Amino acid sequence: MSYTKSMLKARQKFTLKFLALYLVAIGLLLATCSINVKYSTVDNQSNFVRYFLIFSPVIPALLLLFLFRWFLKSTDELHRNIVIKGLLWGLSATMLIIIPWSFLEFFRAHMPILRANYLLQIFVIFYAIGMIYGHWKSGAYVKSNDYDPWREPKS
Amino acid sequence: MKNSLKALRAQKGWSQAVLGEELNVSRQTVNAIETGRYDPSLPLAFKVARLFNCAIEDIFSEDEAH
Repeated sequence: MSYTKSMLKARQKFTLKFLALYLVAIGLLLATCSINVKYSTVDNQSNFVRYFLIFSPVIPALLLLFLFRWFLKSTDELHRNIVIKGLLWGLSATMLIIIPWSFLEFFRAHMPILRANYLLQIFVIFYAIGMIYGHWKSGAYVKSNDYDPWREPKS
Repeated sequence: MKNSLKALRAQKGWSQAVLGEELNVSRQTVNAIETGRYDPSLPLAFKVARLFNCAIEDIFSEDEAH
């Protein structure tokens, strides 16, 4: 196996490991939220159980934050830069939409009500735009035409 | 910022992927630095200088157009 291929293999392994852990964390978060919704409002429960259920999604949420930190630390600086800029752009663009919108809603400008569960979707769309722009601007996926002494001949 | 990374890499006969491996960054990062689309962090610039055994200012210089 060539030098470059082993590097690619290591990167693929890391991505798969990250995605697996990410899915586990998301699954845990959804599971704890569902348990929370189903059981925390049941009347004959002690306060301890109720508070434990209410705060239980914090644990997988923290796991997600640690995973994200690990991802940023393990990835190289160009990609880290693109991810952080994409996040900042996503947050800024979402705020630019929701703040004027909520003012208009507040002053009864007959705006359709922006539901809170659309916020994540709006953020994700802008984050994706930011990531695509970041990759395009940095030329991250431009194919290199360099001389590569280790390039294997096409079979 | 301008840089002579491509010329230095060519002298060694390395591909961008190999240089990336030496610097522990991706090929895309090397490509972005060489084409001037991305300015490396100071630790990475030091790594590059150490790898080619020269000073940072011998590799990276200010772009006079800016």
